[in-house]
Amino acid sequence: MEEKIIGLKHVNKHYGGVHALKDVDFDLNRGEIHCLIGQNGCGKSTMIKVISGVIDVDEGSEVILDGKKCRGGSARQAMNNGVRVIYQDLSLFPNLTVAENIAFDRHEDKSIKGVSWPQIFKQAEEVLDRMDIKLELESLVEELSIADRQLVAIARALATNARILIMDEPTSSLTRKEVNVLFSIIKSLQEKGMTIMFVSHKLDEIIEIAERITVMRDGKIISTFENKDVDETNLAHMISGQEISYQQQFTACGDEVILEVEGLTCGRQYKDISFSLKKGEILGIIGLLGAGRTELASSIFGMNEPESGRILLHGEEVHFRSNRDAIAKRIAYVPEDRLLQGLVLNQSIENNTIISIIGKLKNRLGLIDKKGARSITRKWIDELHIKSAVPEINASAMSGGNQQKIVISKWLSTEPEILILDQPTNGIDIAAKNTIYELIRELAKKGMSIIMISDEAAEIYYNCPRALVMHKGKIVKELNTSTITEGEFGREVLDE
Amino acid sequence: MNNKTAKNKFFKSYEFMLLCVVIVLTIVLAAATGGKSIKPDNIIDMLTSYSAYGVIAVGCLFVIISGGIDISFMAVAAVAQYLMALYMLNMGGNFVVIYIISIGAGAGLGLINAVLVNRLKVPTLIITIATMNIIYGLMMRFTSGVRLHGFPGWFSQKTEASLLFVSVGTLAAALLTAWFILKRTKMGRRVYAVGGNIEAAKRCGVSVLSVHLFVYGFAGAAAGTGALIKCYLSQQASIEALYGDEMDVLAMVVLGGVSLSGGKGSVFGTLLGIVLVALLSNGMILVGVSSYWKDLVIGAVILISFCITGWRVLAAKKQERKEGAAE
Repeated sequence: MEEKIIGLKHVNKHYGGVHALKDVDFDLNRGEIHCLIGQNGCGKSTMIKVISGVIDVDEGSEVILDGKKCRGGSARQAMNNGVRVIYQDLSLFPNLTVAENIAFDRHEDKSIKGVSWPQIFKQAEEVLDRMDIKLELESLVEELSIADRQLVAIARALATNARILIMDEPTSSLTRKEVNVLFSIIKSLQEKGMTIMFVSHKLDEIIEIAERITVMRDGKIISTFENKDVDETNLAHMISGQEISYQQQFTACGDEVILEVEGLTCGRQYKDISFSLKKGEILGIIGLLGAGRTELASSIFGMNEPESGRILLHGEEVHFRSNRDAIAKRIAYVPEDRLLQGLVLNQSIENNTIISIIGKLKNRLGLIDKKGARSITRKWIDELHIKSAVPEINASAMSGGNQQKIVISKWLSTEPEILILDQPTNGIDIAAKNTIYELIRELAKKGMSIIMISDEAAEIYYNCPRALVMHKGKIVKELNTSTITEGEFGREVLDE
Repeated sequence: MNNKTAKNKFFKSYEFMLLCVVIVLTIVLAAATGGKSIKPDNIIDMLTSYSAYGVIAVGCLFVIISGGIDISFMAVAAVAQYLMALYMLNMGGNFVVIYIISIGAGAGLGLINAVLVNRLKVPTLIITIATMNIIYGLMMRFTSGVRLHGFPGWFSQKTEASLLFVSVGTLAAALLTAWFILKRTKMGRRVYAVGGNIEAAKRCGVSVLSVHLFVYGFAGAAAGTGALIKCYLSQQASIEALYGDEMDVLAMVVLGGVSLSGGKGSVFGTLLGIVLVALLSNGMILVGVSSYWKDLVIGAVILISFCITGWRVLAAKKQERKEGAAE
């Protein structure tokens, strides 16, 4: 049997005037786990579409499947060839049961007549058995956790006898524990002969799972490596094309205490939380998803009333009835999920920026001051270096990193004293991450107090002089990151 | 399949809640009217008079499950009714023929809706409001609002059996057909899939156009059938017979537990919704409440049912968040 299962030779793809893939050569070997990495917009998604046969390539390009030249064009044909893509959004039906989602392809299979529920349940059960996992077949997918939905998506791909599984950012909303489960399933699928292509930008995970790694940049393939030949630092370098080495760059903060939290407790979400935040300080809070960090942050922002304990601003106790009170006291909160909670995607950058201060932006007639709005938006676009941004274009047209900057600028225009950032770089590529870190440091230098919440140890280690570790709703330790190495920090965090 | 969890699920479901409400309401009405409301005569009367809207509601259910909404069904029904009546007046015909005409005319207009919905990518509410107005406008132009009556004997001489057969029998057939399609056919499952996640459905190879053609066509056919029943009961065809009752039909479907964002809803729920609206209207007449209050009561019931469902969802989410955080 030939080793290569899919080969691309001199593949070019134009979308209108955009040259999305430039003379790409790429091989996927039978039975390997191959990672594709690159920044947003580097051509990864186009690669997925070409390999899965959803789009056709330019004249003169060659796509070879099982040693035979083939032309793309339909998702259905790719499915018949055994290529299945699990998109980032998973493409599941939230309103249908686990069983029907897994066996959904039966409805589109012309050789199967009618709908047989016993057969649907039988097939779903068989697939889950093969994966060696248990899920309630009767549950609706919308009732499942994200991790379980991920498993359903994989099961659905297996149910169609996929030979090649392409996963687009499968870990972006999973906790570390769930990632481990996913990886063990991927490995066991590989043992059973599945070829897996894994697209991600989490370098540590890629190094952990991939046998070969292909780096893309600007529509070109930079190179393909064996896992043993690379590490996180040189991968990061190749992805961005620039040398990025993280350094702890701390600026001294003032002595003035801005925020104090004393014995804050809220049901089973978090218990007995006490800490203080100084002027110009970047305080890290690290903990896994579900450790209670987001709930704590939303309490400080007035959106989740605590049961007991006190919050003090400048030494005075405050009670927020809603986040409007908190905003009035100059607290800002950039939420974890920028698409869901932070941005109005189909509105312009300008409207997104001014929404938090719309009450103040009045002209003499009490209407919205258009000129003022424009100048504020321009100011933040300049100051945060939001590339190629025009106030009029929709937020949905921006890349992840720039969207996050828009969310931050929205809150900065309220001129906050305390800025709470919940997972500020979630789903953002490496280069964009760095610009966000620089922005955070700059803000702190200007005297803003910042609470940075994350589950990425490196992010906290390099940006926050002081970090609180949260576990099961409690602060279990406080770490001074400047006195320990990154490795030590990582171990301290994991070892609750 | 685990039988016990399935049972538990049923007891927690909206349909079960609705069933309880229907039973309680029946008992209360029986007590308030001294048993008048549960006399067979009254029940048959009630079922007969609500079966037309019931059939139309079943069609609406399909559209709503697929993630759309249809407002034009009464206008479609009016066209079907007129065509059917004209045929009877001019050609005679028989029941089979007029069923075919009304179903065919309804389905045809439904298909126009489907193509517009599929091609224009405009909210279905807007498209069907537009088609409703166009149809009513054309109807007024061509009929001048004339009522048609004086149908052939085979249609105008009603017996108790024929009445039951045309009204309740047709409703039962519509319900059974709908149940079978939604549960047991691939097309039915595709309707749920498109309503749940249209992008995912496309990626799985579902032809969204065929689903749209099917659901709007079905809704049109149901509207045509409803129009036939209405015509048989009232022995006349006119535009205003159906005009303005759109909300009554939608109330049945909404009370039946659909999700207006699509993907959810069941034939059993819709049946209960139909029964609930029928019980309320009929009960109020029997108790002697002015019919002007009917709309208010139905509105209030819809509001309450939505509040309860919304409140249950919120409570479940809160619980989940607390449990999730404690893990």
